[in-house]
Amino acid sequence: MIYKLHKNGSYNIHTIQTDKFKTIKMEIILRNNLRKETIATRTLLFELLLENSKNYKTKRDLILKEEELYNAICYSQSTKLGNEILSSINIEFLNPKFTKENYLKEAIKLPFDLLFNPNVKDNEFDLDTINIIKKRMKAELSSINEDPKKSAIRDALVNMDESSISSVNIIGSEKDIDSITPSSVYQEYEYIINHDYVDIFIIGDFDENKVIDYINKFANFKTLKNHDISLFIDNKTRNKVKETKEKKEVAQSQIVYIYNTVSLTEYERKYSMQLYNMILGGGSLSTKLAQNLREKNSLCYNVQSIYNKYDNLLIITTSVDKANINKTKKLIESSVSDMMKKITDEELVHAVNGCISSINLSLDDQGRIIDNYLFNYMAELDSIDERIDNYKRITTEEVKKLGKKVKLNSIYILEGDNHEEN
Amino acid sequence: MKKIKIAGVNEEIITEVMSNGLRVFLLPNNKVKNFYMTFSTQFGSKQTEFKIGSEKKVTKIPNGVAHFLEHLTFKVSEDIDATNLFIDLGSDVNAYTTFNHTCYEVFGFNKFKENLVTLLDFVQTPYYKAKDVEAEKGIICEEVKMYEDEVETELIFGMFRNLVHKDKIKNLVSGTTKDVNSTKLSDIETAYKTFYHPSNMFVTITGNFNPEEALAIIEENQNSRVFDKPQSITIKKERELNSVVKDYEEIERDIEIEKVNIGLKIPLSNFSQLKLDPKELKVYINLITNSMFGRSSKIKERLVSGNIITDGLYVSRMYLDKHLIITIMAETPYPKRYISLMKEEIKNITIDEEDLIRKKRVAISNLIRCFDDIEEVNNLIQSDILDYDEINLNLYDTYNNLNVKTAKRIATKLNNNATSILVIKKCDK
Repeated sequence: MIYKLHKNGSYNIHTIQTDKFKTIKMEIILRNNLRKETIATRTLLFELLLENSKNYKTKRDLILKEEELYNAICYSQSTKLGNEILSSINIEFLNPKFTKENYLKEAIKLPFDLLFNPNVKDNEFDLDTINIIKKRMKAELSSINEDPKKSAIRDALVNMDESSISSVNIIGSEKDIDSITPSSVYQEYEYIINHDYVDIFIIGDFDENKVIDYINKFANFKTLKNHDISLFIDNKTRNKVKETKEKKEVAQSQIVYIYNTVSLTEYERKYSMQLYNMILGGGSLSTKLAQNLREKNSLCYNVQSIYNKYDNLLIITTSVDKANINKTKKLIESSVSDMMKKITDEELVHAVNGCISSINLSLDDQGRIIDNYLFNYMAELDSIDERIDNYKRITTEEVKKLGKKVKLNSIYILEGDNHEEN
Repeated sequence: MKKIKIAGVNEEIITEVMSNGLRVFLLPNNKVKNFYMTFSTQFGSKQTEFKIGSEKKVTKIPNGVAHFLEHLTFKVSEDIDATNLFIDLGSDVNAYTTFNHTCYEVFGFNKFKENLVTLLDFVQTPYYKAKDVEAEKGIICEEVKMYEDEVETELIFGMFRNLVHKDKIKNLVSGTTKDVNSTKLSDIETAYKTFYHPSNMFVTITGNFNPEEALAIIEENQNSRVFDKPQSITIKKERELNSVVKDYEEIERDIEIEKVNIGLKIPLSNFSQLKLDPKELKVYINLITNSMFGRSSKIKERLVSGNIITDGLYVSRMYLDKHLIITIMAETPYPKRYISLMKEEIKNITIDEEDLIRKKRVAISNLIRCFDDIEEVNNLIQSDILDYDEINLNLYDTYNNLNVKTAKRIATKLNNNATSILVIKKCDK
């Protein structure tokens, strides 16, 4: 795999040459500090750009073009990462050796064409298309409401601190969506094109000179950026834990615990805290939480801890029968306090193995390889080899020590009505 | 050892049958870093009534035993769980159960031999104790309740219940909490003895590994074990009528956007005159239904731009013994209008030449891509074995040889069949 960075003033091109895949993937990534007031507009915009454009009047025209390009798949994504918002327009297409002439150029052109020739007239986006996307965003809000697990995590974050960027949902609220207008979307578009940092990644087996020529031809970004952008959010801690209980007509009750991770060093954030999370509840059945809740007490099917490093938060979530809520809470709390007292060598090795195996898995996936280089570029991930070496070096003492930096903030419970079908 | 070439994609699958009947399928790809190995038994949620060997009597086990057994298999001894054995090896193990099979899967990047041996060993070393059966019930019941809380489960299984009279797709793969609580150790043991014989199982490995070594490891491992003689398994078949159970149902749930599932039940005998290979027929049906209801379909465009549906239409196809089931799911604020528009559409299923050519290109591209992904291609091999009992070598040629005349004839057979409609409505609060 050969990685090269080509700095181009208003944007960077990152090429990753590899013969591992029969496809090529390109991501045009635009990133900036998240602005609460316009986040819903931004999310709508990136859906809108993929719905139609000056050259593709309807979504169907666009899909027909993709199918003609051997099912090239063009899509957009918006991801909140701590204090930042990353939006991207991506395309995945076949290696040109399986196709016809001019294919590479046409495939690279498509996402830029959508980005730079949107369906705009007199500085306004098309109202009918906006209305379609608004409905879709509201449907997404509804589907989160219909999903007890997702809605519990969302509500738990709001319960923690309504004003924190961590509790912002990038779709916004129904009210935010309603207030979006054809001209406000255009203003957001202009803002993004001129103010966002732009990184274009392309991975696959290709002729590098050709690819760079094409990108430079189509990437019509003009402004240089030098403002500060920062990833991290310092969420407020609490002296007294906040506990909230709500009810819903569902079979299972949801329990969400939110902890602040306080004054972690960069090294702790990148390594020891990742291991702390793996040992506590990061995935497998051998974690403290899975052992205590599921294996020893048959209380749940799923229990998980999630470490959001840019938010400085650790979140624990599980679904149990209503009758077992109190027992589960005790076991979650004792599992967390166990982290300070006892971590075996075996637990540590399991966690290290888990982290290394996930790094290795990422190397067979184009999107995750791009992420590795992107975060490496943003100085948030070390190289693959450094990461593996550093994980292997960490001791149980270093992980145990972190227990003091993990502080309970709030508990959120969504109580179900445990209808047994017996 | 046999090497079989997959036409058009420049790939080769290596296959061998071990002396105990275990089948092995290998597709190495040494450009990637990881390997993906699966160990599958042809035992899923539908196999609950069967005869073993020459037995006269039909054995019946509760619904959900395949899934229950999948959970218990991970217990290797009193205090060892297979999950930990794989974490020690730096790899990742999981399992899942479908209507027709149970699959144990491992992702890893080193210690190939240890991983493969551990996978074979833990699945083929039964350790089932009454107290573990009891302890697992609580966990599985929480899993069942999680599915029951998902509206999609109701939309899919509610539809199956209304489409089929007897076919076992109408039961949740996990069974209900009642099924789970009624499961006994003896059910688990019977199921293991019947369905986990190597002759009813197969291993599929894709990704970075050496196929010669893989065969040697499997052979040595299997020869070190003693199995009973293989016995034939006869799954009880029931006659499924061409009619549906209910042609319309409304269910109320605490939801915000109403959902509709439209199901078609088509007798496979409709297509017998065409004298097509079942694999070819399946390709035609996929392309026709994708062209009619898929992402580039005219009806989807019309429904979305008219605000009748919020996103897309989700089409899926399933083949039963004598029937093809097609279901189309959507979320809609206007269920009545949506249903009446779709009713017109499913009466007039067809395909034109331009669509067929475009969809052929999409299908070929997807096939080439599939070989890039060690998980996806492993699944492709597994579903070929489950569906046809052999690898489908000629998919590429099948795509290239599709013709519009046959496609149109097949499309007409999809019209005017029994249908069922399920609407999940908002409940009045």
